[in-house]
Formats: sequence, structure tokens, C-alpha cells
Amino acid sequence: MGNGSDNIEGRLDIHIRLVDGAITDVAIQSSRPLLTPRIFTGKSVEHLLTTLPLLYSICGTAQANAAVTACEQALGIAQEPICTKARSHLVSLETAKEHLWRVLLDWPDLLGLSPEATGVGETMQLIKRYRLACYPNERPFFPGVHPAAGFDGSAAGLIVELETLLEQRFFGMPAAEWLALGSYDALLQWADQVDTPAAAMLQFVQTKEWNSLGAASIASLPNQSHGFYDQQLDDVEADQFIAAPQIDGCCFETSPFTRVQDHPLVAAVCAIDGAGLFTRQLARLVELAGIPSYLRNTEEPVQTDDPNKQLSEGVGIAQIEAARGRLIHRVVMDNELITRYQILAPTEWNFHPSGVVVESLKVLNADSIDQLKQQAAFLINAIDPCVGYELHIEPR
Amino acid sequence: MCLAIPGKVVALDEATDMATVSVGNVKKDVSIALVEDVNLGDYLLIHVGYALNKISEEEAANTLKMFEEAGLTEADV
Repeated sequence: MGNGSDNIEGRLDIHIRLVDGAITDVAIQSSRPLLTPRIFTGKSVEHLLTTLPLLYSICGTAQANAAVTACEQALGIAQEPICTKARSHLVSLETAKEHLWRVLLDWPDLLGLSPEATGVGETMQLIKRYRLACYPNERPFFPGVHPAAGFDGSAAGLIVELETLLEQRFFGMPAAEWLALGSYDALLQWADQVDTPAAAMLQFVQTKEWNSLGAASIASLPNQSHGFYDQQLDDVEADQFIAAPQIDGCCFETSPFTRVQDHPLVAAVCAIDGAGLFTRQLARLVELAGIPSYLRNTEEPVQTDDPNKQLSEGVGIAQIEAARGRLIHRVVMDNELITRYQILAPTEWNFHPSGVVVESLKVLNADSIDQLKQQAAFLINAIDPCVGYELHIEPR
Repeated sequence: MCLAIPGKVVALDEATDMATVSVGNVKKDVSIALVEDVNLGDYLLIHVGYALNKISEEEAANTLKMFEEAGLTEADV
């Protein structure tokens, strides 16, 4: 391995094999460094929580939230609802930033348009200000550190700013109004009338008749107990589970689509097109549009059963919904030092060698190699790996 | 689990909002459209062609040290 950044990040190699123009096989090979968390063995919680967001800064907020949640469990510190709420807000804003990145940077690139970096940059600055409003001490993800009293009030203006940004750069109307469009026809009408990258993408997919492109039936990752993941990650084959997770021999999807598939607009489109390209692009927009109202909800999260009941002393498990899907951390501690640290990321479910991306690519039916490359690029972006990838089309 | 890589800015093109960053012995061109006030010698966290944010020299050194501990970089980075 060299020392270039591509090698550090690793990448996915996606091979599509063809015979007489028909896809016969799809294979994914990953060189992602999945065992990096081992460097935290023997380190303190303070070290972990200080350095982990630097390592994983693209999804650093979700990673930090998962880390502090797992550590608090292992240390027997109850997470107070006000901390859960403030931290969840910051993760939700990171998800908004990732969706903005896809729509304002990636989608124009796929469509041959100019990227709109300004909107992403503005959101990143807004997130910094929101984080400061919640945690003036800049330590949101450390055990027992509380957010500023009444942070909802001081952050209210920032939520309005986010709504304005979404209205101007995405929906051409208030996001809540857009969410209430109610039907496939109303959505298509909106896409025809609005001049934003979001509308341009849906219109492009509709014009190409790619709505159901790549529709595959992989089940959503079910809710599993902390005890289940503790067992899987304590197993001698834990590294294999982290690299290619399955449950009872089955693959599952965890993504923005699986989170919002019951939203009326997504459900209406999915009923017609299945979980294809259009539904997936729409799901991203629906989740993004719902984030301001989520942030404005003043209720504190209801404390569920104590997760420690299922775990041995010194063990902590966190399950956090990150931008790309469910992120799982497990920590084992002894005498306040970490003896084992593991991370199971959503990309490993979705880009599993038999997972949703492979199944989606297998059902593509393009007229040419160039079109196949384009379709694959759209689909892969819709499910969204968190590393770069190389697409190999291999006709025989 | 998406690693972000620290790189040192060795060249800037303000007209195109691009910078050349040095990561170990490798140089990469990245967009700095998402980060304000980037100067030569700054350290940036980069990911798939974009700079995400500025970090201190100390943070960059610590991050590279962690990559080294994880066996992801050569010792001379």
C-alpha cells in the first residue's frame, strides 16, 4: 500500500460483466480500511472522543455521537434526554449537509451542469453556528457534558435560515408545503415548474424513463437489540461480520430510502416504480425537507429501556442513524481504558457483495456501454458509498 | 466509515477555487469551494476531491500518526 490519500481511504471496485450486451454478473470488491478502530485499543475515552471526529470527519458528527453513546453505556453513565436531543440535532444537520452535497454538487455533475458549492458551504457554516449555540464549550460529544440551557431558542433563527436555503435552492416553496404535494402527478408538475438541481434531476429521470431503474427488493435492516449486535461483534468472526454483514444469511439495506419509505409521497411513488432510481432520489429530498421541522420539535426524546440491561459490564453499543444509514459502534472497556473498539458502517450493508447495489445493478438493461455506465453512476450515487469507487464494465 | 485525509496546501488557484495539497509524497488537486479563507501552508481535511475544513498543524500530525498506527501510511508521512 502506498501513501496516497486514495490508498488511505480505500475504495470500492464495482465490476459489471456482460455477455452479448446482457448483464451476467456484478461484483464488488472493497479496499476500505475497516479495522482502523483497533488503534483505540489501550486508549482513554477522552483520546477516542477527541481524535475519532478527525479520522472520520465526513460523517464525524454521527461517528462522535455513536462513540460517546457507546462509551457512556460502558461507563454506566445514563444519557440525559436533553443531551440525546442536542446531539441528535447535530447529527440531523450533518445528514442535511450530506444530502445537500449529493443534490447541489453530485447531481449537477451527473447532469452535466455546474455544481452549486455555495449552498453546501453556507450549510456548513450554519452547522458550525448551530453547534456553538448548543454547546458554547465545543464539547458536544463528551460524557456528561450538557448543552446550553434553552439552546432551542438560540438556534431557532438558524432553523429559519435552513428553511430559507431549502426553499431557495431546492424546492421553490416552503419545504413543509413541498412535503405535502401528495401525489406523483403533483411531484412531476413541480419538477417541470421549478429550476433547481433537485427538480432537474427528477425531470431528467422522468424524461429518460428511468424511474424504476434498478428497482430491487432487498429488505430494510430491521431493528435489532443492542444484545444482538453485542453478540455478533463479540464473535470470533466479528471482522467478517463487519466486512460483509448479513443476518441469518440475508442482506439488508439501510439508507435514507429505508428511513422514509413510509412517507406518503415516497410510498405513492414506490407503489408505482418500486425502489428504483426515482424513488431513491425522492427519498433523499423528502428526508432533507423534513429536517427543519424535526429540529423545531421541542419535545425531548422518550427514554426507552435501559440498553445496559442487555450488555455485560464495561460494554457499550450505539446505533445511530447517520446520513447513509445505521451506524453501529461497540466498545469494551476495562478500568476506564478501551480494550476493544469496533465500527459497523452502513456502506458495508448496502455495498455487500450480494446487497442492494449489486441487486440493483444486475437488473439494468441499457442500450449501450455508455448508457450502462451512466445508469450505474446514477444508481450508485443514489445509494451513495462513503468512499470513491471505480466502475469496471467488462463485456465478453 | 469514511476517512478524511489531512493535506498541506502547497499551491492555490483562487480563480477556480482549487488548491494543490500534499499528502505524504502525493499531491492532489482539491476544490476549496466549501472552506473559507484558505492560505498556503494551511492544513485541510480532504474527502473525494473537496476540502472539508481547516485543521491545525498539530491536529494534522495527530491524524497522520493515527493512520500510521493503523498501518494505512508509510512511516515517513
